[in-house]
Amino acid sequence: MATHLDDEEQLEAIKRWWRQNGVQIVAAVVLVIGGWYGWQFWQDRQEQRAQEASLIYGELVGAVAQMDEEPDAESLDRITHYASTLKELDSDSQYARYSGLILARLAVLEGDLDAAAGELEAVLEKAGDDPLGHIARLRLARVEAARDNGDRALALLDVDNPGEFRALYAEARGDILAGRGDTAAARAAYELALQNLPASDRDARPVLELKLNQLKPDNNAESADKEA
Amino acid sequence: MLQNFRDRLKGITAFILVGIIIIPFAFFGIDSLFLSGSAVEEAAQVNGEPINELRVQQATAIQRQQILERFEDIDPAVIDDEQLRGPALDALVRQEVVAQAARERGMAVADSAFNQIIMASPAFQEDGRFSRDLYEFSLQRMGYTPRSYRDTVIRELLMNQFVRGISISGFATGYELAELAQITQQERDFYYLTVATDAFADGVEIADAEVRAYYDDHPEKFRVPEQVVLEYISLKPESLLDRVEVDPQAVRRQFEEERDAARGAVRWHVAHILVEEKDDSSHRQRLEEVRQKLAQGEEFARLAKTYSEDPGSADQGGDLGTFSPGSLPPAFEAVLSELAEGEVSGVVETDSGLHLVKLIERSAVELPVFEEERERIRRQLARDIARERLPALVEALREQSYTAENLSAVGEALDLEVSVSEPLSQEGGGTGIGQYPQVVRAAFSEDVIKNGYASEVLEIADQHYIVVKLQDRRPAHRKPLDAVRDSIVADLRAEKAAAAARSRAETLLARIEGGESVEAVAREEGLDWQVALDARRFSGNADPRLVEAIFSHPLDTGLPVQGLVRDSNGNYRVYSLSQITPGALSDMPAQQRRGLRETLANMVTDREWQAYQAALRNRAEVEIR
Repeated sequence: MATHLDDEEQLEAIKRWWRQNGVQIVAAVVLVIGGWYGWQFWQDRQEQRAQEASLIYGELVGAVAQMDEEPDAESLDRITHYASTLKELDSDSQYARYSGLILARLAVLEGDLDAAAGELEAVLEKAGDDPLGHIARLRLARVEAARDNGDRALALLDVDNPGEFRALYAEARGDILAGRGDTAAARAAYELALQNLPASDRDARPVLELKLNQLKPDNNAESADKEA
Repeated sequence: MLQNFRDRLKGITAFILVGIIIIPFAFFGIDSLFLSGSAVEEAAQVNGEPINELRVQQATAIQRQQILERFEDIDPAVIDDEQLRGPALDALVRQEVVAQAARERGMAVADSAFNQIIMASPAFQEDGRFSRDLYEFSLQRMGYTPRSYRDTVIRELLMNQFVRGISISGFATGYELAELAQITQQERDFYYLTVATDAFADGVEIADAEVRAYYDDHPEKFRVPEQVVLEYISLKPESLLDRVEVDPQAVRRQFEEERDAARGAVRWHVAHILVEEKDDSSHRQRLEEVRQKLAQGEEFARLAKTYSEDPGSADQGGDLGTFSPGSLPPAFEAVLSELAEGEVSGVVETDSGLHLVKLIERSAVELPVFEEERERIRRQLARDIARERLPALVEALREQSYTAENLSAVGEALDLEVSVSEPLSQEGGGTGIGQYPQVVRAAFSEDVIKNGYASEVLEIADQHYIVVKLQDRRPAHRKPLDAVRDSIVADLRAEKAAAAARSRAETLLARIEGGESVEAVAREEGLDWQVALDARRFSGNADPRLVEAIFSHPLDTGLPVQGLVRDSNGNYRVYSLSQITPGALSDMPAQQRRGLRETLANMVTDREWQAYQAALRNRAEVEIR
């Protein structure tokens, strides 16, 4: 039977082909599958570590939320412990960066502005091109201003690409300049902040207007024109 | 050929072929292959991750529920899903962006945290305990699979973790607080007199020509938007009740069924002693003690007080109250139907633990009387019939109204009432059918308003349908002069009176600016005058516009300074600001200072978060379909 013979021949051909290429194929399959599992394993481990960190972070957040204005030594110790554990676990994770921000807040609360600046400096450095860097930078500038380091503060606020943070940068600059008595420059900064205020920042507008109003030249003899 | 294929499958090839099909199952699970992805339409993509339509609908439904909960007496049909959809999708996109950002930055949600949340949620609890059946049932009802639900919860938890890091780490610095306190605690002294506008209204004459001119100059003020009057048929079960005939026999039968059901029915007065299961099975010993004491003739109620671990009933001697069958755990009921009055059961096991059950009393249910129940049953049956007939009627309405010249004919053919709406503008509203957004949308659709067709049959709520057709279209127009003359005259009079009052106030202001005191000028002119000392921006009872004007003068203005302002009642105030005392943080009580610090910190972190979120969103690749 012709077809039967064909089948026989085909089978022979496959066997021959397998003898020549079988080892490579098996090796390739093993490699691929092994790689897959390895990758899965690595990912699982990462996920496992992240999950562990998340539980510590949960404790940290809880402890900070319960803290009152003048926290006792015990709760400060707990917070510090959680925060430094998170930093050690994975210094590149968001948990570690947030730990830095929280430690900075604690330091401000205790009046240790040097320590606060140190924490914020570290977060800023780690942040890379994450927008979180802007938040760290803004906070660092405010701490620098608070410890009478106005020039450093203004230099920090001088960024090329503030993007979505433009209004915050301008207002922080205005606050520092107003504190120094540089009325004209502060006014310009506040005006820039007002212009760039996102629609979502509804509460910020009246405060900004109050601050700006303090610094404007008096042209209020005309106020009767502002009728409803 | 097929046979051939099967034979060969036994060899090496089979291993490879089947392997190729099996491997994805092994890695991903069957669930992911069939339930996600292309099975459901995509509403948006965030960095390649799809947000499917189902999720948008779930989010919309949740928002709808929240609105209903917040405004209790709102008619559900008035809430427009179309309007909720946009914001819901937007929120989902934002959440997806943040959840992805959180993951990328090494954040995760621990399995134990997820489980804890599910176990603790009252929505999934039965008798105070987590119930897997209820959990799966609830999920299904919301259109979730266990997996998609888990993903949803985890996204929310991730977002929460991400936000909290910003919000709890914020602070306010000393100089910022000082600047704010300087403003809010600032005090100002000022004198003012009032020129009332009303006093100038009496003598004012308004000429016809002025009214005409005002009318011509303010066309937009008297504009009436385009309106439509609709004829409509509203269809719901209630509107059919009159035409539904209920067979008196059926009423009788229903009554008899109810009576027979009641005849056999019992009510159980039940008490129990509960012992919770413990890991060390110490509970068994406890229970044994109780049983021994019972056997020795001790009173059940006394033992319940001492031994029962059900805090709700222990003090009542274990008394749970009276129940009808069907309202107690099945294991309980099985025992109760066997017990004689006063008898105590053996050990009964339920989710709550181990019980001894006592049947205090078994009572029969009082039998109903036909005359008292007839009307209720008749109405109930009529409603059932109406509900059954509704779909056919809706179908008929759909067919006939589609081609109808007017709805009256349709109404007549189907024996349905045809009504006429009040005039409706595109804004909708009112108490009639204009309150339903679907109706308004349909009324101003091209088919209805331009082509004069009947609308589709709109389902505006469960079992409530409306079809509308244009009866009259009233183009946008201006109200005729005669209809608005009186209100124009009143406006003009008020305007002139205000102008006169203002010019008088200006004269007085000039005198005060020239050096006369507010007090002296007011006395001479017979006007009211007042002085306000240590007035603060956000407190005191002076007119808010006046306060605003007083505080709009900058800190370093030359004092005294005078001004004129129209107050919130339309009267004019001439004032002289004589002193400004800057505020200081130390003027604030400690508690207020804390409050200010907290408010300021929150305000800053809020804005930081908004900006962070916006930045992440702007970097993400978002596609809305």
